Amino acid sequence: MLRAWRSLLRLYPRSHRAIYGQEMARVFEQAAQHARERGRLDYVHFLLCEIAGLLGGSAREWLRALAHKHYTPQAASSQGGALTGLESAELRIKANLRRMEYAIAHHQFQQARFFAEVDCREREELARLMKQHNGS
Amino acid sequence: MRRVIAQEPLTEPVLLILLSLAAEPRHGYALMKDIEQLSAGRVRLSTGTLYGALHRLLEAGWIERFDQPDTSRDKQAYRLTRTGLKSLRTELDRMKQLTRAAAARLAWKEA
Repeated sequence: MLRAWRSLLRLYPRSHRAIYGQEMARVFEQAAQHARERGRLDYVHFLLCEIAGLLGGSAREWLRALAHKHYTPQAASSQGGALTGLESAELRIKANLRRMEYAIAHHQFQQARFFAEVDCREREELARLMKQHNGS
Repeated sequence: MRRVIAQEPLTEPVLLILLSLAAEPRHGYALMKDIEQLSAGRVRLSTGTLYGALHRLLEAGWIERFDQPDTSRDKQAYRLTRTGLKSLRTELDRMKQLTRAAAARLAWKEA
């Protein structure tokens, strides 16, 4: 069952899987064990909710990834009350740096390399946004 | 002049995660169980929903990840940041105000 669930996890963007994949699998295993103990009906209901959750969750993550790709300062400022693009980019860089430090500290070098690539891209994006912001 | 950033109402999963972490830091499965308890069994978050919300909260800086002592690689824990606590208080104030207004309105209607 875990194998089938892991195959659904592949629907998520690679970045999300790199950060949360193992943790999500661990949580699923524990929750599945608990649902099994509650009875067959509960277990089936649990599995259906998990499948729906993964399908919906992966779709949302892809949309978010695409939204970041097509971000424009005009769109962000028109939302009013939301974080500006610069603030959002800075937060993403900070969050990514924490993940990279964690990966290095735990000898997860493949993941650390991935986060280093993400860091490069995010900093380029931040530089572009700052240039646009200073130019406007 | 202080810039005021309006806060959108929080979704239920986000509110429940923040409430759960307000008590103490927790890892993923412990969050799931506590949320079920907080909602008296009404809300059972799926793994996908939970980690989608955690991802958004991490990106917003409302929660942070850290290592619990004697924790294996895939059992990171989460805790509320100051920004997250502030946002939670803002949301609870909003809900209190709404509840008061609703109670007053219903009392007026019944009178």
